[in-house]
Amino acid sequence: MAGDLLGKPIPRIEDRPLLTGRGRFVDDIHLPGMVHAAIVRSPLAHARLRGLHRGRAAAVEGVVAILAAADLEPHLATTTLSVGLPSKAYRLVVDRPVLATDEVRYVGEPVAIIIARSRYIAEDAAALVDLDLEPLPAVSDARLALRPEAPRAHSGAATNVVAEFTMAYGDLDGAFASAAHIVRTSLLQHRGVSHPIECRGAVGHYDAVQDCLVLWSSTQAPHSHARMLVKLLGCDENRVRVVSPDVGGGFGPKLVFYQEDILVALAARIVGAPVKWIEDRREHFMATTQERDQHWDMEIAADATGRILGVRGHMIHDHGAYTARGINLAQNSAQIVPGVYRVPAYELRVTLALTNRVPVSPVRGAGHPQGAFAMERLLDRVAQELGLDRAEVRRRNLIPPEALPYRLPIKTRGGTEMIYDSGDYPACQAAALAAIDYDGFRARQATARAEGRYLGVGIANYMKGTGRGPFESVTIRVGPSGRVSIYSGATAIGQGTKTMLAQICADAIGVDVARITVVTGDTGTIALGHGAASSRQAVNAGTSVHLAALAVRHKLLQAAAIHLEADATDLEIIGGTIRVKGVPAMAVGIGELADALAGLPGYGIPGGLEPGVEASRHALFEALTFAYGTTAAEVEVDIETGAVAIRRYVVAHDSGMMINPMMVDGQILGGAAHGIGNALYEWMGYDAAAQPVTTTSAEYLVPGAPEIPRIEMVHIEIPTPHNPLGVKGVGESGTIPAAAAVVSAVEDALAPFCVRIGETPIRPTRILELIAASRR
Amino acid sequence: MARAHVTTTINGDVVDFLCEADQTLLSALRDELRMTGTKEGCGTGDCGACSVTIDGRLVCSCLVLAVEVEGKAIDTIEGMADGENLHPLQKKFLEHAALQCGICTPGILIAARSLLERNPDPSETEIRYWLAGNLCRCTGYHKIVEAVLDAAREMRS
Amino acid sequence: MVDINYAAPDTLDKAVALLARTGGAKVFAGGTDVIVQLHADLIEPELLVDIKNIPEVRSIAAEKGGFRVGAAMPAMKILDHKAFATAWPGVIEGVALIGSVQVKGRATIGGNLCNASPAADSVPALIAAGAVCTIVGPNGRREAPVETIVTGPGKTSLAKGEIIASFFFPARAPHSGDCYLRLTPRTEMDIAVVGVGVSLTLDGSGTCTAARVALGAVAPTPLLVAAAGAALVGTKVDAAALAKMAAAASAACRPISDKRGTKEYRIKTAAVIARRTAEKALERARAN
Repeated sequence: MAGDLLGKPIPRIEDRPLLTGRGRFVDDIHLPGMVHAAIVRSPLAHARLRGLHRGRAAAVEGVVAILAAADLEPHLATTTLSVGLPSKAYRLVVDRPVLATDEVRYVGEPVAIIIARSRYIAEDAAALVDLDLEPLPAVSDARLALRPEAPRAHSGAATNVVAEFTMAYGDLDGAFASAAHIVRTSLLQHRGVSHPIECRGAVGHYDAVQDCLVLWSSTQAPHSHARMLVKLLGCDENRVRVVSPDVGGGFGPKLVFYQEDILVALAARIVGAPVKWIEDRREHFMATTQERDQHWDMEIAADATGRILGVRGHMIHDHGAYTARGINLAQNSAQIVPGVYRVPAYELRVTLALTNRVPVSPVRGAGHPQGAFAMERLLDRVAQELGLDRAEVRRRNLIPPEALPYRLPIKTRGGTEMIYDSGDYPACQAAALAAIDYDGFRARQATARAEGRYLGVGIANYMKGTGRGPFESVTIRVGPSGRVSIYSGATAIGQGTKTMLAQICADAIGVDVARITVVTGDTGTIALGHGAASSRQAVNAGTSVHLAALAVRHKLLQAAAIHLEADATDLEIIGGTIRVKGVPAMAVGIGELADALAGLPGYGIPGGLEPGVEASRHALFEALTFAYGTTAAEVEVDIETGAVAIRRYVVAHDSGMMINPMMVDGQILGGAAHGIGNALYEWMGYDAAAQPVTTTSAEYLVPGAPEIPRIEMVHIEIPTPHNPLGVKGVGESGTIPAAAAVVSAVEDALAPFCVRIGETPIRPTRILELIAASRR
Repeated sequence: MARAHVTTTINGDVVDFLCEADQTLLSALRDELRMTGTKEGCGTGDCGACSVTIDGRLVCSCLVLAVEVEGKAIDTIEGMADGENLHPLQKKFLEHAALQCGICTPGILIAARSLLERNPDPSETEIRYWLAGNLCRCTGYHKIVEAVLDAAREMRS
Repeated sequence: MVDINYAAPDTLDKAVALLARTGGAKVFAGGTDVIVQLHADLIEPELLVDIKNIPEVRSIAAEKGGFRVGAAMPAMKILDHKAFATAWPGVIEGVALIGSVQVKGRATIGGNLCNASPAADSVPALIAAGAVCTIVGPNGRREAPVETIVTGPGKTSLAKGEIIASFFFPARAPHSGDCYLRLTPRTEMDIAVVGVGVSLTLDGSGTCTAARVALGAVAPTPLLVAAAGAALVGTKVDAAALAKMAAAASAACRPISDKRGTKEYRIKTAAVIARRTAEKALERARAN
């Protein structure tokens, strides 16, 4: 029945095949005659590419083709990947070439593609291509990159500053001049790789029957991939189709259009056979975009009671060697610093530096964790300076619910205003504190301290603009089979997107979820789409589905009213049947109606209705809807080894009305685990020559089941007025406050040593160094 | 070099295949036999996505050579359900939404089954340590642990 | 690129003959290191000699009041051996940390030793236990204490064609206990930053009569630190003796700084872990 499904923890429709080994991930695709690709990559971070000798590789039995930049050029309308989101802040245009031509600029940059009978052969042959490289000085650190004498990440460039901007509002000078307290802090924030358990991969297939180049890619954004392919190949839209099959996790970097996407597609056309390329884990660490380092120098002005008067500072952001997505990470970090707090004056100057490391792109949280970390560290410093409780300092500065909607005088990247739409931030913080028994903590801490154990508690608030538009396309169609099909530009990468869309659709129409088929991530089935990113699909695609489903319901009822000769208001939809309320015998199947509305040659459509039972919607979203929350963590630090154990972990959050609470839980839990990894374990290391030094999962340290604690959740459901479902995004919420809360807790545990922590991840070696330094 | 001929039992069926001497069992399953339920996540034994059992012993199939399994009995995810009847672990994973993208799931199910065969009543900590070799980036492990506890309960009763 | 061949002989003699005959032959047991090295092109053997079909290297049995453990026994099978686990809980702790359950389903202590990583988790425990290797080679059989095998990262004292067949663990005196603890950034599935094995024996009055302390991951090879053991012998293993032992352990460290930990960190925490390991071994000795 309509209206009874939202908010229910129904099982996911995606799961049965995945549980039985029948998932269809890109590496599971096998086509007759398929050959396999391996990529020849730069072993150096910066070098002049003087030549490429393919003799030894070409001699390997089973090698089909070796393609370098010059071999591809005749087939391409353009040889660079221009993907950067627009901004006036750019100082340099640094797009990636499809394949390097005369210079390589990061370890892992593609130089050639080998096609062979098997992956083993292709990889062996790739190792036999001799690159003639003349090493050039590499820039490995964003701060060093900005020194005048620094080598240039791109030879001949005037600067390593790829972009710069300032985000500011309010009377900053006044704020700092009148402040009772000014506190400064410097932060080194590292975030690492996405590390989905499925690496990237693609299968290219030129379908001669349809004259269409099909690319199955493990991507979060097939529609933007198709647009890029059209641009690169200079072809008709009808000649390209991109499909995102089952995707084994995305977490941001699978949003990016990569060199391998065009290489695989083009190679399939050149060699005349389907081509598969599967990234291995080592390549994932070298060649998939990551987030990395931000260096923050911040100061905060507060009055005598701890109220914030102003925040200002400078941030240097490591952009990597090229623009693979844009300056959005740095923008997100900068615009979210004020977050849930009243900050009357704010200024952040941001410099984005080129380095000879793989380009950066969003990873779950996309710059927001760093913005939150900066603000939360500043608030801890204020608390320490004033001798106040850290939760109390926050409480005094939270924007009260009566101040909503609250306009932050900052514009989003698209130029729209940031208006916090709905919520109750103080209630959320209070809920988190209650859940972790914050009031009882000092007693627990004292008891432990008496036994020589060091406990600490930390809290952090966060804010996240979710549901980034402009829209997500949806078409819903009822077929003569009686099945309801949803086609959407939304992309399912494991979050339960198909279930979410089906649940909204079933709720609006009144049919069973089991009757619904959801087709996502296929440019052959719907013209427009944006895909999975920015915690956006429940808001954008969800709303489009809701509106389209209401239109389909209306159409079904109209058609049934004609068929049953009843008034539409007397009808109800149960399962796949429409019947007159109270008269079960007067009923018609929705398939029967769809069949009738499909028409017959020479016969009219019943009632003169528009043909077909379908509706398309592209609900437009200019404004973001702001999700927020509080994380509280209790940790124990072993002061002899620096080991940190999380004892309790609470997330209180508001993502608006929940469509499926079980899936919301999953997003929070997974996001929190990712953030805990960033706080304590994960580190993507490079040496001074910009060589990556952590290229296996074991070296990089993705947390496993023993490291992640049980996570307690408090769901607060305050609907947003921006969409009819009242939903806000949740995909990144768990991640954003994690490092800030955990680091705050570690610092609290080490309070007897007056240790100050301004970096992530905080690892045992560093903790012992900080303790030792405080004792000196 | 001539390819080696291997005869083995997979999920109860006798199977023959040809492979190279340095080819992994994972590759033989996926590329020679087209049994793609077993997944590749790292190729170095760090993630557990390729978990299978050989003669009842839990291993990473990326760290086994295909030539080694001559005469052995291998169990993979494809043999876990009995036709359309899901194994209790699969049922509980479905009920708890203990999977998201599903790429690590076959390996985790195989590992969890192997745990429950040894220890029908594991504690939460025992489950977490047993699954330490199975990385998951989506779920934060919480629901996986819950589903295994719940399946163990059901299988005991 | 070389084509690789595979052989699975059923006796040690045949294995030794294969190794002697083929230039680029490599012993293959659990394969958890070899397969990774093979696919990363770090090694290019012409022949893999799989020794898992040889009964002698795949068994565990009581011998002369102690135990003989086949070098190619998978770690999980060792962990499941109740009598051995009772006698040598510290060795079990080391073996339990070799890797995930999946890796331990394959990995062997012979392989863990012969891979010659300074951070191998079972090795300090084997050294502390005083385990002795039985080695078979072209010139027959010989015996060698575990601490003499690893000579540097990736290097061993084994001659060409030699295979470690088994490890002998001597009979346990009353009031003996051992322990292995390690430090890693992650709780599990990680490579030791510091690993310490301690085995000690007390007399009836609680005085330590024998002690062996071995360190891993703090030098190019696992170390048997005689001075650390000596610091405990003749004492009641009190705080002063433990501090002296820990200081000796720290002093023996010759670590490098790498992504897992700095040199200073390793030296400092080696003392902490040595003390904790000895305390646990002591607790076990007192209970026996």
